[in-house]
Amino acid sequence: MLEKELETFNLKKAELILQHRNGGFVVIKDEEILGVWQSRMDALKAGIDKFGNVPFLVKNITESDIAVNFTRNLIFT
Amino acid sequence: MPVFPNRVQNLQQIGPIIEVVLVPPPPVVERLQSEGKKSPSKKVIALIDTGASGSCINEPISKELGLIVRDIVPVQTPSGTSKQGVYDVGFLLILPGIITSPLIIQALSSDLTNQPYQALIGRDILNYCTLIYNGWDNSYQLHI
Repeated sequence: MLEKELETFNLKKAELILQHRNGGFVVIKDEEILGVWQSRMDALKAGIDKFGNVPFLVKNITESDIAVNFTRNLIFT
Repeated sequence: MPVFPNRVQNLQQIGPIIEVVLVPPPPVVERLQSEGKKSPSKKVIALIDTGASGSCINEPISKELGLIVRDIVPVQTPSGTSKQGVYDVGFLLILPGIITSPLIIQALSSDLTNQPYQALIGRDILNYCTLIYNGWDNSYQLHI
């Protein structure tokens, strides 16, 4: 699930962080970086306009992801 | 500010529950409308879960709404840390006389099949609310 896109993001992450010091949301489909937007919804819209409603990555440009925390055990699917 | 007082028969056992309507994010809705297709929505019972930093929806609903995983994030539970997919989804809270505008968040998909609710409202949504839990009165209030 989004393996190729995450690989592309990790390869380009340092460059993206340098270029977008104020952060932003990058859209990646396979190895293609579509662009960076300040709003997640703008990024999602751009991705859908370009690729259609198909799997692509919308990733917050940060050094590391913030974990989602649950105090109960859940079965994720 | 809308106020949502809700009395639950056994608040301690059931927990603070609320009806919500789940919808795809606006760009997907616009795309579907431009194609002349009807945008899906699903009304479900959600549990307000202050122990969750993020929100969750039952897995069949994500399929029913045609949601697509848009990111992979780390998730911590008492069992450990794992990487999970998240979906952009809109939560509309059903309050007496009004339905809120959709709060668009990134929700996880989990198996809530055997639970009396089909979604968890986490602190990502509560970030926009005031929640008052009144155990003495078996009631709670949600201020949006």
